Amino acid sequence: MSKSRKILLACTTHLVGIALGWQGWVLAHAPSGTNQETSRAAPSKRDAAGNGMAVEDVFEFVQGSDSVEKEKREVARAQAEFDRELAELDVPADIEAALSRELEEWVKDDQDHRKPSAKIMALMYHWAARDIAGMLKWAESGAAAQEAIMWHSFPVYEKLSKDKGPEALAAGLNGKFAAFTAHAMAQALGTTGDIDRALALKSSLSKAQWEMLRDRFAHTWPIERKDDIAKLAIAENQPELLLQFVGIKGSEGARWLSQMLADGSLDASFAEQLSKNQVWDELAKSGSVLPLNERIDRLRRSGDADRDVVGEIAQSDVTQLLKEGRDWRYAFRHREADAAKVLAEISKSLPELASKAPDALRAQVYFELAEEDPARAMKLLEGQPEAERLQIASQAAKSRFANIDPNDFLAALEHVPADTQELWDSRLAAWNEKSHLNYRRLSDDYATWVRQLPPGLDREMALYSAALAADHWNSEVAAELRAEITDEVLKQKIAASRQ
Amino acid sequence: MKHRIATHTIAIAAGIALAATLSGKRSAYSAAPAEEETQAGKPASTHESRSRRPSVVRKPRAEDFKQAWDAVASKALPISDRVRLQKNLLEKWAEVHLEGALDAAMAEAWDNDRSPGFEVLGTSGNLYMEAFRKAFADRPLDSWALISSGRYGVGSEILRKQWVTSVSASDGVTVISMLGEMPKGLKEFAVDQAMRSAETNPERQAALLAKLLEYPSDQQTERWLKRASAFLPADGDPVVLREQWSTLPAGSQRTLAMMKWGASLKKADDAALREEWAHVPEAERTAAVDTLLTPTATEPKSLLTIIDLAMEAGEWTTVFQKGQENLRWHSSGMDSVKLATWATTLPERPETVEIFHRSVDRYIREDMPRAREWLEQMEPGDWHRERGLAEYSQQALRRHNDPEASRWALDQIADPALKQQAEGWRRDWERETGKAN
Repeated sequence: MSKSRKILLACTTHLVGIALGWQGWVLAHAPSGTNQETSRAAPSKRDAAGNGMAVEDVFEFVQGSDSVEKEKREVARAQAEFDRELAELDVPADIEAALSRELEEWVKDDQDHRKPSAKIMALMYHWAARDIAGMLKWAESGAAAQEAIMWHSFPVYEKLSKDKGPEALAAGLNGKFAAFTAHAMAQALGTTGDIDRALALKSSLSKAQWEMLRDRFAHTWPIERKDDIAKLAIAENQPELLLQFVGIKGSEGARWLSQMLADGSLDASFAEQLSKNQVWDELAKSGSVLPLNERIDRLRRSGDADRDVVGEIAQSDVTQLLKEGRDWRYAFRHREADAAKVLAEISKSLPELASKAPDALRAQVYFELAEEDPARAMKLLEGQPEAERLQIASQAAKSRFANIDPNDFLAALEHVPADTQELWDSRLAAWNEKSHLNYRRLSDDYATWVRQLPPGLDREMALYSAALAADHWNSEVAAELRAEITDEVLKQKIAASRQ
Repeated sequence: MKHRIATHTIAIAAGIALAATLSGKRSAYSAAPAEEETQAGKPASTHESRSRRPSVVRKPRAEDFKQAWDAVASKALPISDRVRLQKNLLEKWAEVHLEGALDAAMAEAWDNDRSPGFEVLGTSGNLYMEAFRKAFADRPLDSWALISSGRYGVGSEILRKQWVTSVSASDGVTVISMLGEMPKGLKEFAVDQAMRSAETNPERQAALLAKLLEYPSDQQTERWLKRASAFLPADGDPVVLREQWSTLPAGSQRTLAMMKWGASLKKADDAALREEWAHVPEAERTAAVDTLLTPTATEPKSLLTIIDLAMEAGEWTTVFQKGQENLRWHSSGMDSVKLATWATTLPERPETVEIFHRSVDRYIREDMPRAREWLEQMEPGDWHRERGLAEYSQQALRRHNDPEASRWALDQIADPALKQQAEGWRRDWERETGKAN
C-alpha cells in the first residue's frame, strides 16, 4: 500500500489527529513579526545598471501574497461572516435538511476553490446546540458530511463553548469525531483555567470519554495554571499527562518540573514515578534547562551502554538553536559565513557545551554544514587527529545527506577513503541508506543517475544499493542495475541476498 | 500500542499537511491582483520609504526576483521566516519566469531542515515545492514539458509529484490524460490525487473514471481503476450493478462495474449483504471478496460479515492482508462489545491473530473488571482466552498503569511461547517507564 493511500485512509479514520494537526499548523504559522522586522532592516541592493528594483521592494511586493497573512485574513473574514449569519439566520425546523441542501452546493467547488461557509457554520451551531450527538452521527454518513465537519467544526465549537459553556459539547464525545469534541472542550476549559470545572465533568462522562478529554489538557492547559494540571495529574495518577504537558511547554515547563522534583513539593510516590520515567529523561536531553552533567547522567541511565549521549545532547541543542535563531547552514551554503565563523557563533550561544564538550559540538556543527558544502565543512576537522577525522566524516556519510541531491552525497564521499575493511563496510552502509531513501523519493530517475556515474567503487556500491532498493518498486530496473555490477565482492553479496 | 500512537502521529502530520494544502488552495482563490495586495498588506511604517521609491509601482521582473533571491542569504533569519519569504518570492517569480524560479529552488538543498522527516503531501519533503502550486495548476502542459525535459536531472521526480498534486486539485482529467507520460512509480499516486480531488463531486468523478476507461483494457488499467474506486460513493442498487458486471466480458469495464457493486454494499446490513452474496457465482467469489475488502473512504457497515464471508470462502490471504487493514482503519467507530464478541468466533490461524488483538483491545481497556470476568469465563487453554490475556496485560500497563493487573493476566497464560512474548512486551513497558525492578 502506498504512502499516499495510507495518508488518505488516515484521513478517514484519524480525523482527530487531522483536526489537531490543522489547529497546530495554524498556531505554528501565526506570524511572529520577525520576518517583517528583519526584512526591513536588511540592506537595500540595486543592480549594477541601477534600473532594477531594490531587493527590499521585491520583498515587500511578494509579502502581499504571503499565505500566512492570507490565512489570517481568511479566518477573520469567515469569523465575521459567521457572526453575521448567526445574527440573521432564521433557524429552520429541519436543520439536517437545510444543512444537506447547503452542503450539496458547497462540495461542488473543487478543493482549490473551496472556502468555509458561514451558512454551514451557523446551521451546525444550532444543530450542535440542540443535539450535538445527532449532528455527529450525520457527519459519519459520507464524504461530504465529513468534509463539512473538517472545515467548520472548530469555530462552531469555540463559539458554542463561549456561549453555553464547554459542558454543552459533552454529548459529542462519541463516535468517529469524538476527539474533535474533546479537543475543543479541553481548549475551552483551558481558556477558563478552572481545573475544578474540568474535574466536575468526570462524573458525567464514561471512563473512556473522560480519559480522552483529560489527555487533551496536556495540549490546551495554560502554563500560568501549571499547578492545576499537576494537581490533576496527581489525582489521576498520570505522570505521563504531566510529562506531556511539560514537553509541550518547552524549557519553561522543564524548568518548573525539575524545580518541583528538586524541592520535594510534589507527592513523594508521584515524584518517584516521574523521575524514573523515560520521557522525563528524554525531556532532559532537549532544552538546556538542567546542568550538562545532570543531562548526561540521566541519558546514560536510561540508554544502552554504548549510547553517545554527549553527541545526542549536542545534536539536540544545535538543531534547536539553528531552528530558533539564524539558520547558519543557509548562510554557510551561500558563503555568507565560513565554517569557523559558524562554530564560533554557535559556541557563543551554547557556552556550557562549548567549554565542557567542544569536540562533540564541533562534530555536530560539521554534521550540519557538511550537507551544504562538504569540502568547506572539512575545515572544521583539520586540527583533529586523522583517525578521528575519518571517523566523523564516515559517520556523517552514513547518518546525514538524506533527502538531498545525491550528487552532494557523492561529493562528500571524496573526503572519506575506503582502504580498510571497516571504512569499506561503512561506505556501503551509507550507500544502502541513501539509495533506499533516494529510490523511494526520486524513483527511476535515481537508477538513471546511478548508471551514469563514472566507473569506480562508488558506482559499484551505488549499483548494488540501488538494485536492492529498486527491487521493491521496479523489479525490471533492479535486474538491470544488478547486471551492471562488476565488483566481485558486491556481485557475490547481491547474489547471496537473493537466495 | 506503540503502533497506535504512531498512526495517530501520522494522522496529525497528515492534518498539518492537509491544513497547509487547503490554506494554499484558499490563498489561490482569494488572490487579488498583486499590486493591490501589496498596498493592503503593507506595514504602515514603510509608507514613507515607499513614497521615495517610484520603481515599486511596477511588478518585479525575472532579474529582480533573481537578485532578491540571492540577497536572502545575507539576512539573519530563522529558517521558518526565511523559507516563508522564499516561497513568496518563488510564487511570484514563477508567474513571470517559471524556469528561473524552478532553477533557483532546485539549486537549494532538497530536504526539510525545518521539521526533519515531515512531509507535506506531494512535496517530497522539499520545503519550496508548494510555491509552484499555482504556476503548475495555471499552466499544466507548459510546466509538465519543462519539468520533464531533463533539466532538473535526478530531482525531476520531486517536481513531477508536486505537479500531480497541484494540477489534480482543479483539473484531474489532465492528470489522468498524462499517465502514459509518467514514470511507473508516479502513476498510482496520480490516480489517487486526481480521484481524491473529486471525492465530493460525482460529475467530476465520473469524468475521471471515463478518462481512465480510455486506456487499453489491461492489468495496469484495472489496477488504476481499483485504486480509483476507493473514492466511489456508497450508493447504487447492488442487484442492478451485479447484473451489469456479470454480463460484461473480463476487462476494465467489468472491473469498474464490480467495484461500483462493492461500493454499493458498503452500507448494506448483515442480512442484505448475505442475501446479495448468495447470488455471487462460486467462480467469482475470489474477485468479489477482494472487491468488498478494497479499502475505501466510506466505512463498511457490515465489515465483520464481509470478513466472515472471506473466511467462509477460504480466502485467507485476503483476510490476512485486507481484513486486518480494514479493521485498523474502521474499528474505532464500531461497538466494542459487538467487536469483541465477534472476535471470539475467529478460528485459530496465523492470519487471524492480529485481527483478534485489534478487535478486543478497546473492549478490554474500556472496562478492565468486565474484561477480566469475560476472560475468566472462557475455557482454560482456549486460544481466545490466551490471546485475550496477553492483550489484557498490555492494556493494563499501557492504558491503566497497572502492573499488578498485568501480572495477573500474564500468570494465567498457559502457552509458554505466548507467555514469553507477552512478558517481553511487559519488559519494554518497564524499561520505558522506569518501572524495572
